Amino acid sequence: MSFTGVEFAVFFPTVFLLYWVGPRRGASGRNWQNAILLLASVAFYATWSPRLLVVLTAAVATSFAAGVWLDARPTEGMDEAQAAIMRKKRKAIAVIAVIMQLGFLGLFKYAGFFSQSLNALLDAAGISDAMPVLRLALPLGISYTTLIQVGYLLEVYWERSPACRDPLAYSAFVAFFPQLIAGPIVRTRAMLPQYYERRALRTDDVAEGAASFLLGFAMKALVADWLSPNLVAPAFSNPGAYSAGALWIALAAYATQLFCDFAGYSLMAIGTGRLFGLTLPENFRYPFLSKSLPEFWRRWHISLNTWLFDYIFAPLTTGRSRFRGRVGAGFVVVFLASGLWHGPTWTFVLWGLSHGIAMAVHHAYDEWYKRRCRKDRRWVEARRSKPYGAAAWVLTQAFFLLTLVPFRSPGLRAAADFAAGLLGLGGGSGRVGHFGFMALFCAAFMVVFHSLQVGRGPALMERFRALPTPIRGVSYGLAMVFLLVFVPLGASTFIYAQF
Amino acid sequence: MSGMLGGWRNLLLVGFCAFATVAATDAALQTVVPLNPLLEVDSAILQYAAGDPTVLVVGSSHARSFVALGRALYERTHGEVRVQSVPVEWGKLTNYAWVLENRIKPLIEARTSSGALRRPSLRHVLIVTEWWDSTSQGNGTSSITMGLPARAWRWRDFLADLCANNLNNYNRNFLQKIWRELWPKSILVQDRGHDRIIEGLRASISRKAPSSAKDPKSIEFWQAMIEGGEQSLFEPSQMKAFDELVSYFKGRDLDVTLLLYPRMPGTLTQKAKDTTLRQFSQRMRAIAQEKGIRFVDITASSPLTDDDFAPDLDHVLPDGNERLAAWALAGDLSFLAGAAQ
Repeated sequence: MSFTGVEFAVFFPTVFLLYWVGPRRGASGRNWQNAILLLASVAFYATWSPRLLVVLTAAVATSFAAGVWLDARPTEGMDEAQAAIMRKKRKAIAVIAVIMQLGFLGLFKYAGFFSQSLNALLDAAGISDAMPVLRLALPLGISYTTLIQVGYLLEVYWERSPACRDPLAYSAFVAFFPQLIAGPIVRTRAMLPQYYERRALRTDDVAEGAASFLLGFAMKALVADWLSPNLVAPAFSNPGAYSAGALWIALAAYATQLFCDFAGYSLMAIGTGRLFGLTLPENFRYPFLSKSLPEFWRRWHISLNTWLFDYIFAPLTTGRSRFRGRVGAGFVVVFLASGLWHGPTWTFVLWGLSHGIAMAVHHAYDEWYKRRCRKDRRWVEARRSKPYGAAAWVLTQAFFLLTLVPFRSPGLRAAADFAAGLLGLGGGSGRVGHFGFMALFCAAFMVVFHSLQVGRGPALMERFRALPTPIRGVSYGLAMVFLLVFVPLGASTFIYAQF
Repeated sequence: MSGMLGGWRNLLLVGFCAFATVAATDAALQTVVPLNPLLEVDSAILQYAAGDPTVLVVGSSHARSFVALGRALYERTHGEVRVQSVPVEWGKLTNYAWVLENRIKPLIEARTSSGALRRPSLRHVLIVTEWWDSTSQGNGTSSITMGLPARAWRWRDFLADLCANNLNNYNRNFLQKIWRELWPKSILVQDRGHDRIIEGLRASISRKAPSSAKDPKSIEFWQAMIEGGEQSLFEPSQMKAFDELVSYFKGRDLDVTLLLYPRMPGTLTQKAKDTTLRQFSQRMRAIAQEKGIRFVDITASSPLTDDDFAPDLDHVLPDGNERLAAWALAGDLSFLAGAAQ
């Protein structure tokens, strides 16, 4: 099932009604809501593959049990000797539980990649087909549910958060269907407590949830789904046939498509969550306004990046490992992990490595610049100047664009061909095909969307919200008409559902 | 409390105004682009069940062309000849066989309590096909994402496929069909993916009739596709389905005609005529002779011109269908006028 499919237009209102007609107070109200969400999530999952529900169930059951076990054995109040033994036990259980979660992910997502890569290495040494290559169907959303559960286990292990002792609430928290396909990756402390209380239906949740869903739908179904077949896919499938200009347009179109696809999905998930009275975390914050890579990663796929920084980067660079204090190396590790999380291919490894190295270089530059600033205040002024800001913006966005070449390409050779084409070395002369109204609309959408966050944009938004209610209603109605006219009735998939 | 009520009141007002805007726009758009309900398998089956046709036309969306022929025959014979077209959108021979087995056969074989056929008039069957129908191109559940034979399903067929293959782009077409059926009076729902609204608005703003000019790139695409079609002709499962269709109709002692549907002349290069189309025609003619069925090939010989075809270069426009019907009834399909006897 997909947010943009017609089936969701029946599924969602049904779940919404059932969710809000249950008992109004106390534990029975909460349990009713959690049970409806869990049943809806199971039904949502089952439309993709009921058999793979077993994997999700096993993962949820083990992380829940491990959490309860860890929570029942705190080290506080013990004498030092007992505490040391308990710490070892807790660590062992936490490690086993995390390995089990990662094991599910590894088995389904990475086993094929590693056996293929090993075979390639052994093949070079003259040993052919040494390893059987596993090709397993990837359970829906496993990359997301794994990170949610690993985060939960670490929080409980580090005693930052109590374990959840309500299996219904915990299952609904992990498997909540709007976040199942492509996040946001929810965090224990912010999200789990919301499942402990009965949610109340509030007007601002309904209004903002519906508006968020509508905007996300437009981004996905109108912009991303148009760009993909018309400007992006033809150029990436045969870069050698296109001129350098056409390839740059295709690359910019891909950045727009990726953003609108993923941020659109996130907005629909957040909007759906709000309609159930649940506040999912923000996942995108106008990334194309960023003037540095760290800023970009604080604005793009926020839930994944904060997860990686909290659970990999921070322990790595502040713990007792050899990475302690080595921030640059930490960046490389984190972004390599991010690359591999996106998929078990060398193109994603290259993408992650590029960003890791660039973040490390930026960190070194930043430190160097700060030293200059401490010596001479003119360096501070220079950094605040418009030319510096413009140059920083161009560099940041150009780097992000260029790294999308391996991200989108089916292989390293194809990525190299595309990159050569960008430099005019591809030999092609083809133009992008459909460069009419819709292409201009997509570009204008991106500019307007981001402009509403700078200058007088926020004030304009406030003025819109202050308009008389009927005028706002008519505006939403016209937006819906526009979508009905320009969005074909058909199925489309979300890019980030494949990760 | 009053603030909360005010909030709900505002929210409902926003919703109402939004809905009213959509409804009013829908009604306004219908003055520019009238609803154009297409004959689908479901409605064709209902018509068949309610009537007792003498001629059955089975084919893809192209079978809709024969509604005009049916109308002409009905008038000419004062209702003696009744044509029922069953168009399977995006169908191929395997899909026609499925529709025959699951939707049409029960109607043909339905009997009264005394054992007599409930609809005894059927005499002729027209199988409308073309080279594409015999190929493996577009098969499977992943490559086709729009307008599919899944639209011929009933709920039980959908649920069976859902259990077997999960929800996918193929069986989702059934849900889309149901969705469209829920909003039969809405041009905004019915037109999604067809662009008639955009074309109509464009024509209305520029005060010109919708252009009949064809996109040269689309013509090139069709030319290349037909030229390359010979590589994938006569896929065994499609030919087996064709054999099943003919065997069933012949087994019921019906007069069967195999008709190769006309293509837009501009999409037919000499190379396509010499390769794909010739191979297909020759093989189908031989099969028809072998099975004792009539063979009519009007792929490139109909009076239709490029202007008679829709911008999709595939379907014939209403005026073209009328001309095609008149021409066919004066020639190769004239025998249908005597179908009631």
